[in-house]
Amino acid sequence: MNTKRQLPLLIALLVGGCDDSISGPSGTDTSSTSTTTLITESFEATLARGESTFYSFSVSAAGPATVTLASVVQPGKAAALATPIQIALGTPVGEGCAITDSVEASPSLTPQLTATITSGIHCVQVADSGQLTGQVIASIRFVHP
Amino acid sequence: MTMPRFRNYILLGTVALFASACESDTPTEPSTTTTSPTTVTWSGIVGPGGSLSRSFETTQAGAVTVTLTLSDAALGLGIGVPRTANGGCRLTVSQVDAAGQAVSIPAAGGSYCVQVFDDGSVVKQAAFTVQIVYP
Repeated sequence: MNTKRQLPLLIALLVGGCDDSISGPSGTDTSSTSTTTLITESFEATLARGESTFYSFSVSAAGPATVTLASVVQPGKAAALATPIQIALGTPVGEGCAITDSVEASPSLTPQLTATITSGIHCVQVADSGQLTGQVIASIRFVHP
Repeated sequence: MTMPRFRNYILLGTVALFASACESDTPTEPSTTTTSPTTVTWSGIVGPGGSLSRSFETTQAGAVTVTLTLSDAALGLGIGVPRTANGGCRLTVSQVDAAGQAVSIPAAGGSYCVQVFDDGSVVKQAAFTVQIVYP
């Protein structure tokens, strides 16, 4: 074989050797594509002794939900209060929230209530657990699928 | 120079050209910079009964610590969550202190805020500097 014939072969070999495409493993892609997007919502509720209020929200898929009582303050005051308040998860029934999970919590920046919830309409309730002596503003942050 | 030898030079040149082109194919790791924890220095002036707040985001869980490093008067200092409307901050923890004191709280990843407020000590106005450290 002379040089003229060798040249195209060598070029073809070298071009093939330079292929820099990164290929994944062969076969069917079995990586999970069912990652659930979590939504963070928040609301403020003004509560007085013996009162409760709730906030309804829709869940598109079953998954974990967390509720955080992030702040309790007196109206018009900046200083934080450590007053415990009941926070709960449930489902709206009539004009109320039928509670399925609840906890008495003091303000924190990490979730105090965690539960697995189904798709559908749910509610977060905040309520005086008997500790309030006056009106307060409670700030709630919750995360759900 | 004879023609066969000339062809050999062309062949060698072609091989060298493709071999050099292959050198750049070596994958390189992306450079990484460790940025956690983040430290922010914030200064402002608070009037009588007033307050100032500053928001920040954390991408991971960890301790949030705020230190009143400089202050003209005893001031309220706290960590909390941004208000859902009208701006400002709803405090989770707070204390009233002179410069040098710190407030710290564990936090999940999310949006948070620091607030400096007058709790009755400011007569005209008070300048402050706060150091915020978060994950």
